[in-house]
This record gives sequence, structure tokens and C-alpha cells, in this order.
Amino acid sequence: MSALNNPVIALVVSLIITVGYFVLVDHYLMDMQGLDFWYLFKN
Amino acid sequence: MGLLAGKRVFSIVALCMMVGLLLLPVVVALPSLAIGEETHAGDAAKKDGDKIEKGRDVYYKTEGIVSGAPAPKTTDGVKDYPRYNFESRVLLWFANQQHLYYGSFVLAVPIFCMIIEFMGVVTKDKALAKRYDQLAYDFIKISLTAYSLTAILGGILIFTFLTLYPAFFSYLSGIFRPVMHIYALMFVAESGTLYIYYYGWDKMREGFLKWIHLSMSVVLNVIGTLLMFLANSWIGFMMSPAGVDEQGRYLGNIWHVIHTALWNPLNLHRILGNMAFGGGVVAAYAAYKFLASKTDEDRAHYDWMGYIAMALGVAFLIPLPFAGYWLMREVYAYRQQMGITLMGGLLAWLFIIQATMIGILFLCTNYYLWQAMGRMRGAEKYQRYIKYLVFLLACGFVVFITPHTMVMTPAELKAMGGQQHPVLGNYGVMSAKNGGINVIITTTVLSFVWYMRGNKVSTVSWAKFGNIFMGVFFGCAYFNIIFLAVYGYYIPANVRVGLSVPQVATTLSCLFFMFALNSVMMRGAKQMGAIEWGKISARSQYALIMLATAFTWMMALMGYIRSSVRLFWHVNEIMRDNSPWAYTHTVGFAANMISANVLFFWITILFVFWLGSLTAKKVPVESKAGIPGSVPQPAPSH
Amino acid sequence: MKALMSLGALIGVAGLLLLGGMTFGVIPSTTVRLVEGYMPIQLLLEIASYVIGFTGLSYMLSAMGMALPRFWQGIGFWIFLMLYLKFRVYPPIPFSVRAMYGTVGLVTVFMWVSANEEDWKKFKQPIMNVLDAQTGMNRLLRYVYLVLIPILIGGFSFNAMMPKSEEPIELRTVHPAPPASTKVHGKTYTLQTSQNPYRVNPEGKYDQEYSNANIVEQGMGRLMKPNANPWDEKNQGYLKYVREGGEIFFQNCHFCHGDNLNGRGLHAFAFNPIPANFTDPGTIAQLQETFIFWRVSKGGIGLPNEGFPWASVMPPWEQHLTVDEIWKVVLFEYWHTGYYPRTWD
Repeated sequence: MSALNNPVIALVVSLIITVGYFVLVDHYLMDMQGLDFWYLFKN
Repeated sequence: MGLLAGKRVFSIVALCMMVGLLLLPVVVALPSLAIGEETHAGDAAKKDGDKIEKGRDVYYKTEGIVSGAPAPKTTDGVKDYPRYNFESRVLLWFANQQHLYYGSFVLAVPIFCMIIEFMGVVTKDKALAKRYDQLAYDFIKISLTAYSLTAILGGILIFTFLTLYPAFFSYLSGIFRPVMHIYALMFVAESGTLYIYYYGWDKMREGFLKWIHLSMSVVLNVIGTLLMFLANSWIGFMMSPAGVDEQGRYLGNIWHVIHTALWNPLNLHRILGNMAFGGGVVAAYAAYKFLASKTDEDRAHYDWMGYIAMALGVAFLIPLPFAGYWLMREVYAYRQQMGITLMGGLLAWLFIIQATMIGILFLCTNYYLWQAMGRMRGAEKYQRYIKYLVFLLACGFVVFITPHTMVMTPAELKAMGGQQHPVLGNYGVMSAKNGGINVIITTTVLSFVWYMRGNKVSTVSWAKFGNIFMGVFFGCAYFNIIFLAVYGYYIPANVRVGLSVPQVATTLSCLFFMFALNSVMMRGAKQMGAIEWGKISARSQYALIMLATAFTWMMALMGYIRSSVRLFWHVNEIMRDNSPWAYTHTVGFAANMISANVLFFWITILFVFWLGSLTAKKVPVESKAGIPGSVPQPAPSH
Repeated sequence: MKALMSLGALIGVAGLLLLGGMTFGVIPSTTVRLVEGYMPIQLLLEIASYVIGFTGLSYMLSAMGMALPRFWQGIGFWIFLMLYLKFRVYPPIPFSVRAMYGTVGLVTVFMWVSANEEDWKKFKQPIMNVLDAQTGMNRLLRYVYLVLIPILIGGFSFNAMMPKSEEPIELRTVHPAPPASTKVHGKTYTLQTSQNPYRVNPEGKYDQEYSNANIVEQGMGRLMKPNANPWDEKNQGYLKYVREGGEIFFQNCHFCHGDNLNGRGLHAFAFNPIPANFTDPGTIAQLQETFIFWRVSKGGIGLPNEGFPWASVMPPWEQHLTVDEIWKVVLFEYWHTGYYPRTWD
């Protein structure tokens, strides 16, 4: 638990969780509407 | 024990009987709605010698038996449009808007009372619970007169319809006959519930009866909401008719007529709007009483009341832009033309004004929260970061209000090299604006979170991680919103429109997760200083008054937009408006009318509040017991 | 911390020098280029850099004992904002928009300086000093304001009421709402549902995905897709129609709309409003194909009043072209600019 309180580790862990969450949210919500999120990059 | 159990059973039975009696007319009427129309049409057809005419529903495309008159083709004259020596439309506009204001207010206040009374029942702090209960009672008391005013204004509205637009109103009421009857009966239900709820407050103060009382507030709100839904069906029909054929003849299915394309978006948008508006009005009332207070006790009480009202109003304000966006999407999907008229054509400038007002709303909210942090001892650590929040709000606001079509002289046009500015033109389209408003809302959430942890230091073992996580979450949220806003420019329109959903989800994630995480982190937190209720600056109260005025103005603006989008139709594409006023007013005239409506409403509501305060003076000292002298802090979980 | 702040101060000073140069005309606004494709975000990032710079500057100044009073900070920031908008951003921003931005700036500066009581007191202090006029300097200032402010107000009022010889401001709706249907050469087309009959795949069916796969690539140079050359005589169907549309375009339209479809034709600047720039993402890229069909057929005089039909010189092409030719020209425009017509699915 105290390792988590180390600022660097906390930052890295937070980034992983947060970025992963937002990527999932973006993809899932666009998929749910039947739209292609990676439209631009696929072309 | 037997006596207590007996009392409980009796109270439950009494409540059920009451609800049953109140809703009995509705329940009895329902079957006849379903059957009645068809048999009537069937009879009529038999009389005509088996000539059953069928028609196709303009929206649902189903077939139905024609059972109503076609929409009247009106002509300009005293038969269809009797008039005074004055524009009838303006008279109707005024009556309608005032009725809507009061209707919205009396729908919002019971929801507040329900929430606050519930908080009073579940709060563990006894003194605070008493204050919440008293507050809920005060809210209902000062708004009691508003109910009769709503009904009076409704009567005036119907009379205006009948006398100035008889052809239109007879057509509409012919189709909505059962709905209007149920509407009237539900008024009876609402009044009955309201009076028992209000006058029975003291009698039902303790224990089990209190839960019955709370249930009554739920019933009251359900009835009120249903009333609004029924009224929404009329305007939904006028904007996006269904259940009739192209000539406007009713096809027998009352549900189709009610459940038009825009009914549910309107329902959602109006519930949220009512709550935000009601919160604003009550907060302004508290602000005024604060500024006029003579004692510290009073100031503490009204400061607290203003905070609660604002918090509830803003809680419902936050999802409101998204409900509005859904409404617009449905309008576009129903009729692209109507959508373009609204935001790309004739009424586009009104939407820029709306964008400005929305920005003002959020700016006022944030400003109030920063002032509120000023009265928390221990919240000084956040003060120096406020300028960065101001900057974020300013950027979001500026992007949000940039018009796509700019007002400019021909010389400026030549200097720009075209109608669009290469830089600012990009702010004028929806992709940027969604980003702007989401940044504003996320910043408001951030201000709220800072407020809630303002004077506390977390003592949980993972506090440092929690703080860093919250910072990273907000940072990534901002980045995601702005990234999606920029990305939208590089993809086709039908994909871009879908990007708003992840943007909304990002903002709402901040709201739900950060609030939840913050509450968990603040459990057992060390308090660095007290919240000094009553020591808030006067500027904050002016911010609350500004908030209420902006809400009121916006409601009238959006109501005007909703009405004018029909252009020269009474009922879109079904019944044409052939009155001499079938044109769109200039923006300036509309703005003046809106301001006049706002002014009139505020004058009359002040009268309502004054009436409420007359009875307050006769209430015995018991009401003062709720105001704590030594424990001015609300429960930590708030 | 000190290192960060001194870096910020450096950015602030550099930025202020640049802006000063642009304000006084010493250097042109284009010195720091607004990069195409990034401009809107670049603007916001530049202002953010200035804010960071000012924070650094004010930290360094107060560390050196020469703290700038909050009063001057607030006024200074607002003046900076107005100068930035007027002199740095090119092409020039219309006055109405700068007025809106300036008002927002004023409100947010007020929110900043009055966010808490101490700051507010510090901000009000200079104003209170002049109003109280306890010292000789303040007394003098008070008299000066007493004379100056009415003169300024009088000057503004005079300026506002003076008749000017400039053309009045016009508020033309660039994208008016289209009618529900339009009648061209005797046939009625419902705009919500009509489709371009030439946007077909090799089987002859209406197919947007097929046509979208064969348009030019957006980005550098708008290059043709490798196997999608309309001028290859072997090509039939969609690409052949694009070529035919191109021929019509260069016989009729390019004089105003430009040979690169960017609204920079031969005659472009003789007109007001100038011809539409099809490469701009705000024109055909966000409109339905039937909207373009309506506009081309009916021309400027077919616009509703809010679109200023008397000002537009767009010819009503139904008088010169057949319906098929109009559809093909629209097909060509989308092919050449690399945009998809807007759809609802």
C-alpha cells in the first residue's frame, strides 16, 4: 500500500488506469452507435 | 405493540386508498380511451353504409381508420383569428410563458422537498436533520401560492387560445380530448396530495408516519411529472405530428398522438430544466434574504439555504446540455430542414445567445463555489490555482460563443478574404463547441470537488495515491475531450456526430467517479477549519441572483425558439398558420419580449414570496430551534 | 520552483516583445506562423503559454521585491488580450467578435481578481485611493478623471452617432434551410430522400461506400487514388461520370469557383459574396448532396430572403444545364475535393 503512495509509482499506475479507461469508453461508445472510431487511421 | 402495528396498517391502507381514489378517474377512463374511439368510428362507418376510410399515419406509417375531422384550412379573418387591435400571437406568448414559468417552478419545488426531506430522515446528525426538515417545509410554504397562480395562468392561457385561435384550438382539443380530461383530473389529484402533504406535515413528523409522508412527496412528484408529460404531448404534436394522416385526420391511436418523435426528448429536457430553474429561483430567494438579513444567525441560515438550492439546481444543470443535444439530434433526424432552421439558418443567432447564457450559468456557478471556499477556514491552499480554472473556463466559453457567421462590415469581410475566418471559423462548428462546453462542465465538477474537500485533509492510508489519481483523471479527461473535439474535424459528419457521446461520457465519468472517490477519501478526514456559514461575500449572492436571472431568460429564449421553428405552421406540415402573424419576429423584438416576460415573472414571484413570509411571522419560536448556534457545519458526507 | 518560474518568465518576456512588435507594426503578424490545420488549437496554446509566462514573470518580480499590484495585473492582462486579438491573429478578426471576446475577457478577469476577499481588497485599493484622494497625486488624478471621463463618453457617443459612409453590416445566412422539395425541369425532387443517380457502383446501384473509396486523398496535394483515374478511357460507371462532370465544371464553373475548386476563380473577387470555397470543410463537406443540387439548379435568386438572393451572382444553372449534367457536376466536386456528402446513416 505504501508503495502506491510513492509519487512516481502513483503517477504511472494512475496513467495506466485512466488512459485505459478512456480508450475503452471512447471505443465502446462509438461501437455502440455503429460508428468507426478509428475511421481516420484506417484510411 | 399491537396498537402500533395496527396504526401502521391503518396508515398504509389510508395512503393506498387515497392514491387509489385520486387516480380512480384516470384508471376508469383508460379502457374507454382504447375502445371508445374505434367503436365510435365503427358506428359512424356503419351509418355511412360500410364506407370505412383508412389513412396512413404521417410518422409511424401505420394504417388506421379515419375518425376525426381534417385540419381546418383557416383564412385570415374574424372567424378563424378573432383579434383585438393587437398582435394575438404576442398575447398568447405572454400567457403561455408565464404559465410555463410557474408550472416549472411548482414541479421543481416538490422534487427539492422530496430530496431534502429524505436527507433529513437519513442524516445521523439530529440537529442537521431537523434543519433539513424545516427547510423542506419552508420551501413548500413559500411556494404554496405559486400553485394557484399556475392554475390561474393556465386558465388565462386556455381562454386566450379559445378566444384568439378558435379554429386551431378546436382542432387540437378534438384530437387530444381524452388527454385534456385526464390532465384536468390529475390537477385534482395533485391538489389533494399537496394539501395533505403540506397541512399534515406536523402531524406526520415522527417514525412510520414520516415514511408515509415521504411516500406522499413521491406520489406528488409522480403526478406533477405526468402532468408535464401530458402537456408536452401537445407541443410535441405541434412540432412533429404523428397519429394523423397528411390531412390531419385522427387515426384512432391515442398513443401515437402522444408519443411523437420529440415527446421523450422534450420530457427529459424539461424535467432537468425545471429542476435547474427551480433551484435557481430558490437560491435567488435565499440570496436576497441573505443580503437583507440583520443578524448573523439569519445570514448563516440563508447562506446554507442558498448553497443547498444552488447545489441541487446545478446538479440537474450538468446533464441539461446533453439532454438538449439529444433533443436537437432528434429534431434533425425528424426533419433536417427544421434542424437547419434552428441552428444553421433563421434562428441561428438565438443559439449563439443561448451559448452565451449557458456560459454565464457555469461561470456564475464556479464563481459562487470559489466564494464559498473563501468562507472555509483551511481552503486557502486552493486559492492560487483558481486563476487556472478561470483560464480554462474562459477558453471554453470563448470557443462556445464564437459564431459561425460573423457580424462584420464589408471592409472586414474583404480583409478576411471570405465569409469565414480561417482560424475562428473552426470554433464556429459543433465539433469545437462540444469540446468547449465539456471543458466548462468538467471545470465546474473540479470546482465542486475542491469545494467538498476544501477545508479537509484526507487521512486514509492511500491518500497520496488518491490525490495523484484524481489529478491524473481530470488531466486525462481534459485531454480526451479536447482530442475528440479536434479529431472531429478530420472525419465525416455522420461519424463526428457520434463523438459527442464519448465526450459526454468523459465529463460524466469525472462527475460520478471523482465525487465518489472524494467521498471515500474524505471519510474520517481531518478538518483544518470550520465552515463559517454566513461569512460569505456579498458578490456570491449576486452571482446566485445572476444565476436565477440567466435561467429564467434562457427558459423563455428556448421556448421562443421551440415555437418559432414551426415557422408558418400551427401543426407542422398539417395545419397552416394563415393569421397575419405567420412570420418570424426579428431577434431584437424577441429579445425584448423575453426580457419583459422575465421581468414580469420576477415581480410576481416576489409577490408570492412576500405572501409566504406573511404567514412566517405568525409561526411560533419552534422554527428557530433548528438553527444551531454551536454546530454550524453540515454533515461531512455533504 | 525558481527554475520553472524563471523559464516561464523568459517565455513571458519573449512573448510580450513579439506582441509589442506586432502592435507597433515593427514586425508583421505572420512572423509567428499560424500553422494550417492546427490554427484553432495553436491559438489556445499560445494564450496558455502567455498565461504561464505571466505567472512566471509575476513570481520573479515579486521575488525581486517589485511585485506588480493585482490591479495592474488585471488591467494589463485584459489589454494584452485585446492587443493579441487585434494584432497577432491574422487575417483580422471582425470588430463584433473582438467585442464579444473582450467582454468575456473582462468578466473572467473580474472573476479572477475577486475570487477571494484579500485579492479583491488589493484590487480595489488603487481605485479607493483615487476616490478618497488623500494624497496630492491622487487628488490630481481624481480631477483628471473628472474631466477625462465625460470627454471620453462624449467622444464615443459622437463617434457612434456620426453618419458613416461605410456600407452597413449585413447578416447573411450562409447555409439557409433548404426547401422540402424543389422542381427542376418539370420534375420534383424531395431533398431529404433524393439521391445522386450517378453515384453508382459497377452493378449500377447507388453506393456511397464505393464512390467514397474512389475519391482523391485528402492531405498533401489531393492526389488521385492509384486505380481511380477518371481520365483513363477504360473506366466506366462512376469514374466516367466524374470525368463528364469535370468537363462540365471546367466549361461553366471554374471561372468563379477556381480550377482548384477553392473559390479563387478568375472572377472571384469581383463579387460580394465571393464564390464558395469547396475545399473548406464548412461548405460541401457538411451538406447533403441534394442541398448542393438545389443550390446549383436554382442559383442565387433561388435562395430564401435570409440568404440575400439579391447579393449572390450564382447563376441558376437549370437554365443552362440538364438535370443529369447538374448531378454529374456535383459528383465531380465531391470527387475532386475528397469530401463525402453528408448522410444520416
